Amino acid sequence: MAWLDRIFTRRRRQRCFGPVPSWARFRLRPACRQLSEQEHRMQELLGLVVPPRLTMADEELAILIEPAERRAIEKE
Amino acid sequence: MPLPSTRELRHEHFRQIYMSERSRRESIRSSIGTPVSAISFSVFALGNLLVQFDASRLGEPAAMAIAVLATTSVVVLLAAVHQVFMVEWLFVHHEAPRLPDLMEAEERMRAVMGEDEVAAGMMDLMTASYSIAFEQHLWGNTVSARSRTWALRLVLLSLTFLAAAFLLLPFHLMG
Repeated sequence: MAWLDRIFTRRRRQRCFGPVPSWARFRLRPACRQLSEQEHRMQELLGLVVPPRLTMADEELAILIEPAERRAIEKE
Repeated sequence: MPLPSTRELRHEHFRQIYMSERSRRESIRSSIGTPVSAISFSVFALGNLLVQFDASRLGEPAAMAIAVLATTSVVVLLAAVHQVFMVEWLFVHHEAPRLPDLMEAEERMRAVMGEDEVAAGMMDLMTASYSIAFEQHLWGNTVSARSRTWALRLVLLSLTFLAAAFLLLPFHLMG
């Protein structure tokens, strides 16, 4: 009855954090890399012990991308 | 009243402008309604023009001018529709770190810097997060606002061509 779930629920039964579908990973890779670069620049600028780790939210997929998933997308 | 430190000022500044940029996103989103309404009106007006247009007299100057103006209007209108699509196309939000990530960072700071520096370090970490999220939202909003503005301009241009075609219509109907 998954098709009914897709029609009648606003949000499909999916995990809110990843996994990001393979067809969307290529599209998201530049955004992930840009964000990681910014995080490292901020770490250097403020002399932080750890870089800030922001969460990305993709509206097209209605999915949240946590930092670990982001790193996995960047490495592919 | 003691003045806030520069660290606190930075933090508060970036937190505020990040929040404003988030609100701006919603106002850009809701303002798409204006060009969309204008596009709907243009389509209706084009339909009216086509009903009254006699294509069998396309060789006449007035008919030819109307055809050219109406075609240009349609092309410009399609460009406006494209811009409306681009306002919301592939938008990625950037949000502040989650609590587990913050807790992990706090533990690392405690181990490396000592207990006294943890609060200041966390404030800097949050300032950096707000700053990045702000920049990303600002960039995304700027792109969206540009598309929205162009959509509006193109719709106005399309309506101008349409108005010119309607001005020529009496001469076409007279002949």
